[in-house]
This record gives sequence, structure tokens and C-alpha cells, in this order.
Amino acid sequence: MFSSEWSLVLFTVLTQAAVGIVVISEFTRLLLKNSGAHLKWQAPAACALTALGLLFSLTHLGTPLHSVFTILNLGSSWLSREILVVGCFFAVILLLVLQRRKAPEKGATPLAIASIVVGLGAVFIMTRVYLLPTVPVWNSIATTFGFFGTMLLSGSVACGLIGSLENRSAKNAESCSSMAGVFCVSALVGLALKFIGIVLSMIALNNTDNYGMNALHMVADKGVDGLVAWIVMVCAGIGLFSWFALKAMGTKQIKLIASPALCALALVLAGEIIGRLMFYGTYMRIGI
Amino acid sequence: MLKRPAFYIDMEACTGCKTCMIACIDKHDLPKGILWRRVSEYTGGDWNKDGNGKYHQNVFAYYLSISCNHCENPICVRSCPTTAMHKGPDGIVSVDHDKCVGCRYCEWGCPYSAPQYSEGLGKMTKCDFCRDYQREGKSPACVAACPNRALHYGEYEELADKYGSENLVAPLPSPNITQPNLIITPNRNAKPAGSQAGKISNPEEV
Amino acid sequence: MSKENSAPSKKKKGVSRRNVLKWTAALGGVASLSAGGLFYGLKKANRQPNSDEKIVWASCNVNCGSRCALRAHVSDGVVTRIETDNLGKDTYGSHQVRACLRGRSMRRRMYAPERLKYPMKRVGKRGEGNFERISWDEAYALVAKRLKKAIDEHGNESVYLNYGTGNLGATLSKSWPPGATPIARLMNCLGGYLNHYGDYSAAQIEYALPFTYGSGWVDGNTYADITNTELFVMFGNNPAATRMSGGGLVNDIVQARKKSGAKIIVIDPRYTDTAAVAADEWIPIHPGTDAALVCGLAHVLITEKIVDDDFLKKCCVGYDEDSLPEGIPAGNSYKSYILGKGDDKTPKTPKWASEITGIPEKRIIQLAHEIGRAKPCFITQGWGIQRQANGEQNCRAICMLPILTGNVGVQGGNTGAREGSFGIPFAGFPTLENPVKTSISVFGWTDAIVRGPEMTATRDGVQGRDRLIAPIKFIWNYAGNCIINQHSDSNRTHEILQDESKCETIVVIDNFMTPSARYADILLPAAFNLEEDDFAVCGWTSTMAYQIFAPKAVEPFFESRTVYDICTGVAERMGVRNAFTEGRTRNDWAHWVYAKQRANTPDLPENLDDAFTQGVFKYERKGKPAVPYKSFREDPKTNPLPTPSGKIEIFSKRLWNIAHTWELREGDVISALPQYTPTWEGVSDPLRSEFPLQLIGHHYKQRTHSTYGNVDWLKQVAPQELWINPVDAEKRGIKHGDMVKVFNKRGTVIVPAKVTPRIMPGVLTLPQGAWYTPGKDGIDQGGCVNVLTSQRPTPLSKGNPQHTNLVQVEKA
Repeated sequence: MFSSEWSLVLFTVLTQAAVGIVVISEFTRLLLKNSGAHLKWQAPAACALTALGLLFSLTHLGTPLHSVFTILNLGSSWLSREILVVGCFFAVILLLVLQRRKAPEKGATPLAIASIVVGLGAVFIMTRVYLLPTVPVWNSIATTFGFFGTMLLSGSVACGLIGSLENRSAKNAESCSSMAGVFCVSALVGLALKFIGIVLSMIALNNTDNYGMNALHMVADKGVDGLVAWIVMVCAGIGLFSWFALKAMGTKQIKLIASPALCALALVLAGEIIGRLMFYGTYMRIGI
Repeated sequence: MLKRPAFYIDMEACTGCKTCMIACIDKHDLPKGILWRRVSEYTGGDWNKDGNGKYHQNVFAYYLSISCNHCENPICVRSCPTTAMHKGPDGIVSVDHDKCVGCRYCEWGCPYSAPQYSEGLGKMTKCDFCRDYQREGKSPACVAACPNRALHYGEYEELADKYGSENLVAPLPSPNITQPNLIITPNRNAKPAGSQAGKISNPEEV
Repeated sequence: MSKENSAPSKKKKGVSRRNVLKWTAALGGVASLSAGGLFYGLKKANRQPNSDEKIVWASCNVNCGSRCALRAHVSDGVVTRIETDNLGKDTYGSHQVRACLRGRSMRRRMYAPERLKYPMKRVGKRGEGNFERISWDEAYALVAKRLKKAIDEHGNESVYLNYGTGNLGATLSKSWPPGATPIARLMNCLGGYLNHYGDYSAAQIEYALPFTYGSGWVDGNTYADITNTELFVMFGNNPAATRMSGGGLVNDIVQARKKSGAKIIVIDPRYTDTAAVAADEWIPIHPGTDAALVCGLAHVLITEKIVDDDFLKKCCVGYDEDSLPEGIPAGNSYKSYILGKGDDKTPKTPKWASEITGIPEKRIIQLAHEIGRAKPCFITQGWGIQRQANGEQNCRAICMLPILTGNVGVQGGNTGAREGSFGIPFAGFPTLENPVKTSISVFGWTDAIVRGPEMTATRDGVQGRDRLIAPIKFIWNYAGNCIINQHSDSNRTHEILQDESKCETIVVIDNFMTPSARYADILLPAAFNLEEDDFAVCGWTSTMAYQIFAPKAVEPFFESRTVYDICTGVAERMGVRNAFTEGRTRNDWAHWVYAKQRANTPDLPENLDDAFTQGVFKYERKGKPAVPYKSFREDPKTNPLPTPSGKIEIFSKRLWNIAHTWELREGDVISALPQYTPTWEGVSDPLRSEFPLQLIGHHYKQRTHSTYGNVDWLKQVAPQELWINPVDAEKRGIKHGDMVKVFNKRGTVIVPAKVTPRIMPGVLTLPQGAWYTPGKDGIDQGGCVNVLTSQRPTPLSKGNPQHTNLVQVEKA
């Protein structure tokens, strides 16, 4: 049932998490004035995660030395576009990080907005890579919901974890508690997207009947454990995170989140990796 | 050389002997696990007992020998990130090994299993319509091998004039996806595309 | 495994270092490919064509019923690619003799890892496969010593030439019939050897049908005549697996079907590839019950008076009481038997037939109407239906349909025998006359080892003597795999061969370490057919005959030698070299045979080398397809059949006499009429409570019998699988691809399951010929059906009933 597409699983989950971190933290910066001082490490972390994801993607290639050619077919290949846009995302956030190191609060806003836009674009293009007309299991809005869900879920929990660690001794607790609120909301939105995605993908699976092999039956036959683990881990992670995020808002002590957020991130990432393995594992192409 | 080379299959003559597969393996020295041409067995039918305890059945089976159809709108070429997968001026879809990165994305998309990954090369491989033979004026290895003359090739338009342009039998995908250069004369067992009457019954062989 | 792998590759005469190196390269390529590591193919595609590359004609000489022309690409002394006949415009009638998948994999077979390199002698127990390399001199001396001992102690009749068809269709190196091989010539120089009659393919039909139609081969109309018929009914018969050449019968049937408006019905337990490509309808039938179906059909034809009375009266005996031979008690006519007025008092109604065959009663009645009303009707049978415990009855019974309906000897009709073939005779290598006239059934050799002198004419079918005078002590086995693989009951054979005091010597001459070769005492590597000059004769065809002239493509592999040279070597040690060779080398004999053949077909070029260059010579048969027995039908008085009555003998007085004089085992029946006789391990055997499933072993595209059974390319595209119906599979929790255990009291086989509606419920089929590969527990891992088949011979021909088996199957 589980595929061996480990490189792609790690590439997609890590880069989507990185986009989530950037989108949520930069959005929070724009939304909450003076929150920048409390959100210093998100962009560098996203930068590192993206780099790691790209490295994993290289391990998927049979001839990595030829990867330079992979952006030659932007005209028609979504894969080519994906590689380019993820590369751009990495470049933008790298610039953002360098800019902030040079001058913490000056001139970074356009780069911040660019990184949000490029990041969201990257996730969108990543979904397009899988909308193959010959792979009905993937060729569904469920894929889009799923990828954006991953982005928000893992991005918000990661933001929460980083935020709680870097603000262990923060003075402006008010701003931090608002941050926790944003993370909590985005996590819950992510969870909603995820669930809509799962329901839609079950419908897509059920509609995939390749000459007697129903994909949903295949999942029911061999993948129930994985599906349950995925849902339970993601729900537990988000539940834990939201609960403590709300508590942190109440007590205005974001450091309360640190340990639960670490647990939550582990649960969410593990759940998402299982989910993504299942996503690749349900690959079923029409034809012969 | 042809401009729009196409394969023609006369299902009335195909016994599923797989000589085409072996001729292809021999011609291209294909290693184990790589089959540029594959013969799928599509089988269906049920067995039901009557009141006297005798079985009645409606069993059918037929074979389809499919390689690359060198499609007019090849999904492999469309989706290849490097442009290594390309359709040449001779209409043949082939892989440029100087560019192929071995991402296997073409393999995901092709509904005919034409692009096949070589672990040894770290690149994709596929049917090249025996371009070298065609240049010498010879038929592709599979076509020249077919003992029952079920497999032919030629200019698409000429074949279509001669045999019609039908290419839709189960378990083939809708031709709208890639516009395959494939023409088929169905036999009396052939089921329409999308039929649930049978299934590919030899997954271990293709 | 054998010690041959560790044998030092010291330089021997005739083998240059360069040859060894190039073979090592060829084998190395094989090894690395099978390891899946090196994809040298595409690198090779970029390679510049080798300047010394040549293409030579070759042939595929195996026992498939077809024969194909190959074109071997040879580079640096190694065959690098195989193509097939490419001559002419491929117009039907002078069409290309295109090889099937097996022929196209020839280079993979030729350079298979099992290929023998050196003469060897056994060390350890028989069948273990442990051998020690010896020199050719030692080998010849050893064979001569053992042969002398056998002849001195037990006489020439203790020396047996086993059935072997691995080089069938060749001329100088042919392996079948054994009496036409160089080994026969050698033995005939030494006082002869024990003959056999019949063959594993068609022992029963060849023996039984002459009782109906007269002596000799009973011919049939060819497939080309499908264009002239209304209804074509095949009992068994699967040319899509047994006559696979593009110049052979499968192509003939495909081509004829396109031109014909005839309805085609296939009656077979299995939905064969022939049924898939050609049949309008498939009627599944329990194995071994074809005669019962015929009886049910005959009942309808007779009671509804759709029989051809004129033909029956004019051309047949024994249809009704009036035409019974003299001295036969009343009630023994065919009509009486069918209508229940004979001894068994059972009318053979369609309902009766339905219960036995599993075919719905209505379908039997309808089929009788179709057969009765089609004018003409072409009824044919394959040979699977006669490899049954009641095969002699089945094959004669099927002939009753064309006889009852008067379709014998007409255009578009048939005798009911297997379809005919068009061929051109080819000159043979002279093997002299065997002074020994004693002969056993091809299937009886294991019994002749165990209890030779107890075997008699009336109990065991011994011919030429009332009783054997010696057990088999020495076996020559050239290009055959019947020692353990293709003979029945591998486990029993193994036991018999373990006792070296019984059969003292087995000499195997082969290309490969086959399962049978593992039982050799002395194992001699033969040159491959692409490593010697030879002529290949046509296979079965309808409209075009051909001959293939195949020169040596490459040098013999390592130390292998031609079978002629091997026999010469032994002849020298036995002191008969001059008698054996008549002073000729193999090459001299090639010219000798060619000169004789030119007398038959003068259009061949004067020079043999020119024939080798041209490769294939084709002869189209013009005009309407031949109609055997036409002259007899038109005027039976002037053109009588070679039966005692001169007519078609529905009732055979000869069989009546045999039935009354032979000693038969309990349950065995020989009858003057073609009847349905239930048998041991048949559909109605009570043993089904323990072993509920009937097992047959069909011919499979992966192999020709066991030849090509070791070729990885073929195993990849057509793996060995047990066919099982979903109804039977579900009951046992078996899914497609599961490993299953098939077993009965004779043995156990482990094999993957192919769950398919193409085999009827209650019946399994395990394609015959897979290489017997027993594990330490004796359980076969190779899928060899003969682990499960019985050595009990059939009543009349003492032939092989290899499709009569009851088994059980479960998940392994």
C-alpha cells in the first residue's frame, strides 16, 4: 500500500511546511504591528526546510546531474514550473533573511509580500503537478485541498513552536498571545481543509475504477491502518496545539505552548508523512 | 521516413503469442523488467450454475499488443520537465539521454506504460519505433515478427483510409488524452472502452 | 550444483583461447543482465555496426509442430540477434515463415547458463546433478565400456534409445524419431537396440484410428478447407500454442477464418488462445468425456434421423445390426449402443451426456442440430483429448460425427482426425536396419527397466516378441527430456533410476543441464543446431511447404561436438568406425543428403552453399485444398480402405478380438465400438472425494514441451502458472498470483495461481514442460506437471494418459 516515493513525500511535505511557516509568519507580521521582533526565526527555518526538501527531491532523480535541465519545459510541464517556483521561493526567502540580517525592519516588506505570493504559488503549482488526466485519484480538487491543508497545518504548528521557543522570556506578552491566536486559527483552517480534502479524495478514489480495481476498495483492503493513523495523529496534534494556544492567549504566556507544540509538530508531521505516503500509494493510472 | 507513423492492430489475427515482445527485447537488448511492447490479456465472463447443476458461461478473452503510440499530443512530452522526451520531425517520440533526469514523471502520466525507467541508466527508455530499421527501409522488429500479421505500421492517414480510425477498445484509455497514432480493427470479443466486462488478467506479464 | 563450474578451463584441442574469451563475454553479458545490473542495450544501440557482422540462415528445430526460419546475426563468433524469414512480399501462399516468440529468443537459449561445456561423468547419486569433467577420449572409452558390458551381459535388446524431440526437424542431427538418428545407425552397426512405437504426442490416436480408417496415418482435410465449410468444430486442438509459426497452422487458421463464413466452435475445458482468436463459441467440457458428448450428439442425430444413411450403408460397417461383421452377436452395432439396446441397456441421451460432460443438455441437442444440418461440416480434434486414460475411445468417438453425417471425403469436411498438412519429403540420413524387431510402447520404458522380461505382448503391448528377453540396462538419451521431466510420475521414475543395478547406464547427449541430464551417468555436450550445418524440414502447414537450409553460424560452444562426431568416437572404440562412417565426415554426409534431396526437388541449386545462402525454399500448393478419402467415398469398391472390410469400421472386428484376448488391468476397457468408458481418475472416479479437481497440462507458448523452458526472456513474458477458475479459487481463498500447492498421492508442486474464468470449474491446468526442480523435501518448485501424472498406461496403445489426473490444491 505505501509507496516507496520517500523522496517526494519529504520534498512535498517539507516545502509545503516551509511555505506555511513563511505565509503564516509573514502574514502575522503584516497583521500585528511590532510582532516582527517575536518572529525572527520563522523565515530562516523555512529557508532551511526548503533547502532540505530540495535536497530530498534530488534523491528522487535517476540522473541528478541533469537536474539543471529540469526548467527547460516551462511552456507545458507543470513539473518544470514546480521546480522553478520552489527554487524561486527558496531564493526569495533567502533574500528576505539576508535583508533582515542587514537591516531588521527596513525594506523587507516587499520581499515579505513576494515570499507569501511565491510560496502560495508554489503550493498551487505543486498541486497542478498531480492533476494528471490519466491519474483520476489525484486529478481532483482534493489534491489542492490536501496540499494547502498540509501547508497550513504544519506551518502554523511550526510557527507556534518556533514562536514559543524564541519568546520564552518575551516581555510584550500581548503581541505574543495575539500571535498564538493567529496560529491557532490557521491550524484549525488547515484542519478543515484537510478534512474536506480527505472526504473529496475518498470520493475520487471511489470513482477510480480501473477495470475491476476500485481504488477505494484497495484503501479499505490495505490502507485502513494508515488512514486512521493519519487522521488520529493530525487531529491529536492540532487539538493539542489549539488547546494550548488558547490557553496561552488566556494566560498571555506563549512559552506554555513550547512542549505541546513540539509534540503537536511531531504528530502533525508524522501524520502528514503517512498521509502523503498513502497519497502516492493510491497512484492508479488509467489505461494499460 | 514516415511523417506520422502509426501502428495498426488487427485483433482478428492476434493470438497473444508475444512474439512482438521477444523481437523487441532481442532487437533492443532490453534488460529484465523493461518491456517496450506489452501484450495485455483482457478477460471477462462469469460462471453460473443452472437448476440442473450445469454451468453456463459467457467467458471471453482477447489480447492487445501495445507499445508507444507516438501520440500526436503525447502526455510524456507535455509533462517532461527537461524536454528530453520529444517528438521528432519523423513523428517518433523518443528520449534524449543527454537531457533526461530520470524523474519518471512521464511514466506517471502515460496511459500506455510506454516510458519505462532503467535503473542501470537512471533514465527513461522507450520504444523508438525502430528508427534505425525504418531508416534502412525495414519494418520495426515487432511488426516484422508478427506471425499472424496482426501488427502493421505505416503513415497514419493511409492506415486510417484503409482500416478506419477506430482505436477505442477496452482496456485502452480515451484517445482524447494523447491522440495516439494507433488504429485497431476490433474482433468479435472486443468490448468498448470503459467497459467493466473484463479486466487485465495478466498483470504479472506486462 | 555440478562441479562443471569449478572445472579448470584448461586449453583443449579444438578450443582456442579466443573462443573461450568470446563465450565468456557472451555468458558474462547473460549473467550481468540477469543480475539486473547492466543495461548494455542502449549503449550497444549507439555502437557502430561491426564490420565482420554477418547474417546467416538458421532454423528452430523443436517439437512444436511448426518449423521456422531464423536469421542469426553473428558478430565476432557470437550470435548477437535473431531475426526471421524476411523473404518476398509476404503474400499468403508464399508467405514468410515467421518464427514465434520461442525461435526469436534463440540466442538467449543458446547462451543460457545451463549450457553444457564439457563431457562429464556422474559423481554422487543419480539425479543429484554432481558431475566431474572428463576428456572426450575418456568419455568415448567409458561409453564403449558400458555399452559392451550391457550388450555382452544382457544382449542388444537391453539397449534402449529414449524418445527425444529436442532437435526434431533437423536432418543430420535429428533426434526424432530415434530410429533415424546417428545413434540408431551406431547401434545398428553393433547388432541393434530395443525399439519403441508411438510417441508422447499422439500415441493413442496413431494406434486407435487405423482400426476405424485402416492402417497408417489417418489424414484430415487441411485448415485451408475452412473456407469451404459451414461449420468448423474443434475438439481440443489449439494451434495458437501448438503450431505457432507464422508459416504454420495458426496463421493458416487465422487466414482461412478471414475468408470463411463458417461458424467456429471450440470444445475444450480451457478457453484457449485459439478459441480467443478464432471461435464464435466455446463449449467447456470435462476432460476425458469427449466420447460421452459424441454419444449424446449421436443420440440426437440418430433419433432425429439426421444421419447420412447412404454413406453409412455404402462406406461403413457396424453402424446398424445389418452391417455387423459376421460372427458378432446381435446388439453390438453402434446404433444399438447409442439407443440403449446393447449390453449396457443405457440410452446415450443428451441428458446422460450432460451429466458426464457438464455441458447443458439443451446445448448438446442444439450442437447436434448444428452439426447435422451444416453441409459440409468440418470436425477436427487435437491430441490433448487422446492423452487421456480413455484416449483411444475419445479419438475414435469424435470420428463418429463426420461418419454419421457423411462428412468424410468431401470438400469442407473431414475424417474427424486432426487436420491434414501439406509437406514435401526430405531426404534422410541413412541409419541402416535394426536387426532387433522387438518394440515396446514409448511410454513403457520405466516398466521395462523394472520388469522387462515379465512384459508380454498381450499384457504390455510388446511387439515383435511375445515377451521381452531383457530389461533395459543401457539408455541412450539424445536431445530428450523424458528421463524425468516429460515422462509421467517423476517421483516414481526417480525411485526407479536410483537403483543402479537396474538401469546400469544412462548416456545423455544434450545442449543443457536439463532435469533429465541430471540423471546421466555420462553427459556429453552436443553442438547446438546453430553450430553445425543442417537441413530443416517443413512443419505442419496448409498451403505452403518449405525447406530451410541452415549453415553453421558459429563454432560449437566450448568442447561440444556434433552428435555424428560423438557417435563416430564411440563407433571407433566399439570397432565399427568404418561401418558407421562409410568413410564420410559429417560434411560429406551433408552433401550426400543434399544430392539425394536434389533428386526429389530438382529446383534446388546445384551447389549446397548456394542453398545455404538462399536459406528458405517454398512450394505453394495451388488449387482447392486436398480431400483425403475422396476416392474411397466416391467408389468404395474400387478404392477400398486398408481395413479388413475395406470400409470404415465403426465396429472393429480387430478390436473385438483384441478385447477378447488381451489381459487388461481392472477397469480398463477395449471395445470394438467407439464408446464412452469412465476411467480411473476420471470425472466420475470416487477418488474425487479426496482429490476433487481434474488436472490437465496444456501446451504453453513459453516452451515447446520442455525445450526453451530455461529461457529467462520467455519466462518473463509467459510465466509458469496454474490455471484455476474463480469458483474453485474462492472456495480455497486463493487469489491471482498466490503461491499454491497442487498435490495428489504421486507428488506435490508449488506454483503461482492464475485465477481465470478461462478454465472451467472443477478443472485445473498446469502447462506441461516446466523444468522439474525438486526441493530437498522432494516438492517440485518448477511447476512440472509430471510430478502429478501417472505411469499407468492406456489399455490399447499402452500410451501416456498425462491429462488424466485428480488433484487437490490449496494455498501454499
